[in-house]
Amino acid sequence: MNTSYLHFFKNRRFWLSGPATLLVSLFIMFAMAVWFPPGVGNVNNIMMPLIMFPLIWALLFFYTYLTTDLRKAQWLLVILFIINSLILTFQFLG
Amino acid sequence: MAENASNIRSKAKALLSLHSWSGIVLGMLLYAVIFTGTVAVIADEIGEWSNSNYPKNLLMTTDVNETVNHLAEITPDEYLDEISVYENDRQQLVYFFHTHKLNPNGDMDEFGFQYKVSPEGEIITQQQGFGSDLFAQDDTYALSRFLVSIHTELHIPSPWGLILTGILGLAMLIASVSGFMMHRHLFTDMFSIRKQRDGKSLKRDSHTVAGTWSIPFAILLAFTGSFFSFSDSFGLPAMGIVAFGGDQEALMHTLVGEQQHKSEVPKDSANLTLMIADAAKRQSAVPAFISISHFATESASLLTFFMPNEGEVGFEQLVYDATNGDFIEYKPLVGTVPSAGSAILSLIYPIHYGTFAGLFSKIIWVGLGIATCYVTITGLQLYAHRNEKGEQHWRWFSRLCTWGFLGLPLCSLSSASGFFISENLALNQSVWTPLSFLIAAAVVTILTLAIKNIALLSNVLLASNGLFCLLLPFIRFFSSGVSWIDAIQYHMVSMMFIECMLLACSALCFYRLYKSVQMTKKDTIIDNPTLSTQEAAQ
Repeated sequence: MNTSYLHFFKNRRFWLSGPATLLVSLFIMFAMAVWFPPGVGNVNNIMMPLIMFPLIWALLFFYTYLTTDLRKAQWLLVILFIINSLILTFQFLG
Repeated sequence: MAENASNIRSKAKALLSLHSWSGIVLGMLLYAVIFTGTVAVIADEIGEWSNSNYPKNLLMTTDVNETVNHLAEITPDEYLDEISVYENDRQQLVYFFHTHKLNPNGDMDEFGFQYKVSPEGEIITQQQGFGSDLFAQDDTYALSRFLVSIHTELHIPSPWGLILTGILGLAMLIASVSGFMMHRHLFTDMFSIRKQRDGKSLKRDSHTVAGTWSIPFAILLAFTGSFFSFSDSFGLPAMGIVAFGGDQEALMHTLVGEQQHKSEVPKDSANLTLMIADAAKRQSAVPAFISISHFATESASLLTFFMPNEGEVGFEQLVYDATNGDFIEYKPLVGTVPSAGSAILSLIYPIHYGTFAGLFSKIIWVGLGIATCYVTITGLQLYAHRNEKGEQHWRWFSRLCTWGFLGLPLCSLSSASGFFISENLALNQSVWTPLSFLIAAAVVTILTLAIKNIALLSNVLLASNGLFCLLLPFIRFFSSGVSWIDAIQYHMVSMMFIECMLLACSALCFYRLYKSVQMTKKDTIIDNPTLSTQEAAQ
């Protein structure tokens, strides 16, 4: 296989917009189940994260793909990852 | 200023690249999901057509109360936990007395006795098993179930099929949003097929026009579709782990809105038929199905489920106290009280499948689905055309496009033929419907490999599609004996709609074939001027 097809693996933007965005979006969705107000029906914290997952992913994807400041995008993903990881950690261990 | 312009240019280039790659990498699978999604919109109509049937509103016209009481006497008590009743496409009422337990795959499933009852109250069949198995083996839905399953999970084992269709939904979201962001002249692009253009330029203009019109639709479908796939495959179980510490039963109780502890003290139920009549009167419609919980106990309740009604977009559920027949509430789709999550959820299905205004909205959804199929086809063809000019070995891509674009409709039509023929031969329709699809797929693949000329291959597949579309109404007629006169007499709208669609598709295929042959002739004359002179002289 021509190695030129695989050049995108060396591209930082590929890793940010691809796996990193997907991972952070999933973590946001899971953590939303903890902090999103359940409402009187007690179901909003379950349904809203599921409904919003494609939107969160699309927003982060287009931001990381189109931004000229990759460093800023990288820090944004790191911060989101840490905050949501902490929420999930407290949920399971707290 | 110059830096700003350069920045915009580079973003436009990045968007174009994203738009192309998101379409190309998953384009063929995306086409399969969009095409079968267009078919899935009219799955109910296909179900009625394939059984040459029309709904007789048996939930309203038969004595459900008497039948439930009779069947309850012959069914073991453990299966009176829940009873669902609906009318199938063969003018029978299906009563499923069940409880819930894990199936061999480890999933929570319904298990119990299923009875198919004629309008006269006679038991036609009786089966015991898991709900998922009974539905998968039910020949009534063999065709519509097979076609819908390609759309929802591409017939790949769960959860991987759902995850793949979810990823395809996200790819469609990327392609449509980037397509929208790329437009500098959105309104001009909606109408701009330039004159005196043919070949690639015409294809590019057609791609842009069809794409521009279907962008809002594509974004909506991509979003709702990926929600369905991801929430079913891993989203809901994951929410159960996070919010309920892994207690999936507690999650289901919260979503279904059912009390966890119910009284099982025996108590006679009120008349179910009267409750159904009351619900139908309140909604001015016939329920799609009913569900009786904890029958003949102090906790007995009846839920009637209605499809979107006139002036409404979402589903409606009316709950009755089955011990005294009192109307209790309009129950939200999830939870016990109305909520934002439930309201949005009840909108997602009607929006995704266009069921909110009956056949009218479905026709619009089918039209937009065809436009989206066309955008996918022209997008991939543009890519194939661009690479073919530079590199000869890229011709395989054009061949692959022809195989997929014309092969999938042909295989779907073949599965419908298999459904009817196997019914006539008294074979298992649930087996022969997918098998006919596979046989057609094998034949199309052999033809694709054997016919070297792509234009000829395209014409052969086009002619086959046209022929199948033309023959299917006749095959259906010879199979069931139900004619168009009967269809008009009994207001079988779905049947006539599907057959009109088939005949229109057949006409379109033969028209495209005629144009293609004309074009080939024209090209031959241009390539061979001597011949054209001779022909002119003749």
